[in-house]
Amino acid sequence: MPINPTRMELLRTKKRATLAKKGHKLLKDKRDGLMQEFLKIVRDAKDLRARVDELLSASLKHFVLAQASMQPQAVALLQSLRPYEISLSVSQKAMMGVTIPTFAVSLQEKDEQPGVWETSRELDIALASFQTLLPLLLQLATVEKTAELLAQEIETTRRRVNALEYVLLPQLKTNIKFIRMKLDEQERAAIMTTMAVKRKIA
Amino acid sequence: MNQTSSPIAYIGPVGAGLGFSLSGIHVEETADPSLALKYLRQWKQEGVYSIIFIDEGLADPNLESIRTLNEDALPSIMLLPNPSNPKHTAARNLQQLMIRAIGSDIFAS
Repeated sequence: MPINPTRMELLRTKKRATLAKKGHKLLKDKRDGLMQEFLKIVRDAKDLRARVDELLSASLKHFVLAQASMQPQAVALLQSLRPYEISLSVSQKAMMGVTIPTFAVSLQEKDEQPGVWETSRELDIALASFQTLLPLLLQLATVEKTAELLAQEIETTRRRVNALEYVLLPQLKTNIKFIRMKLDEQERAAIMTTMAVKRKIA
Repeated sequence: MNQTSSPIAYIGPVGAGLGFSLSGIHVEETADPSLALKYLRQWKQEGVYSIIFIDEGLADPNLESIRTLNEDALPSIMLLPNPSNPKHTAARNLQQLMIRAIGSDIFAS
């Protein structure tokens, strides 16, 4: 794009460069903050994931045992009865401009419950272990989602920082240099013209 | 704060969803990964579920599509390990996320 080498353009470009420098610093700070937060979240996610994997595996084994110890009809009846009702609250919080969902679950027993004779002891153990696991699963869902969203935001912010650092700021610097050189050249030409005129008059 | 009436769903292999269904979670059992992906797409479009658990064996062939579906704040699609055939896909996902964000997996040892 051709640049108009005028004082007005020089002032405008200088203003843009100052603004770009400020934006660059702010975005760099944001990126660093996001990275710190991201590392904390990933560490939590790793620990939580290991715990959940272990508990889930144990819980599913309990359910396999429970299914094996019960009649298939009883299992089907239980599934159709659904003895628990789940309700989930989803709230959103903002973390450095990123909207993150947080989940909270509540499990309520329904009025219609299967009789004691219809369920096995293994099923009670399995259900108890699953109910311990459920809040952890939701916590993990929150943490992993946060990590995902923060990673996206870090990527975007990093691109913006790089665009400012390696494209816009050097371009503005070059433009300022070019305008200054042109203005200096014009000034020198004006002096030369004045001197030539003076010489002719004298 | 939003309250959703049928908020959580699980997609897993046949016979693995008993714990989820007894706890009031909507369960779809299938052995077909493409059908699992179809459910995910449909639920995402309808906006019915806030959290969708999916067995990693079913998720493994469709990871790229699941990553795209999981880009928005909701729903949160979470991979669950299959105890009979653990693939550690979720752990690998977390690793890739780190590489995407930071450039390397600094927790790898």
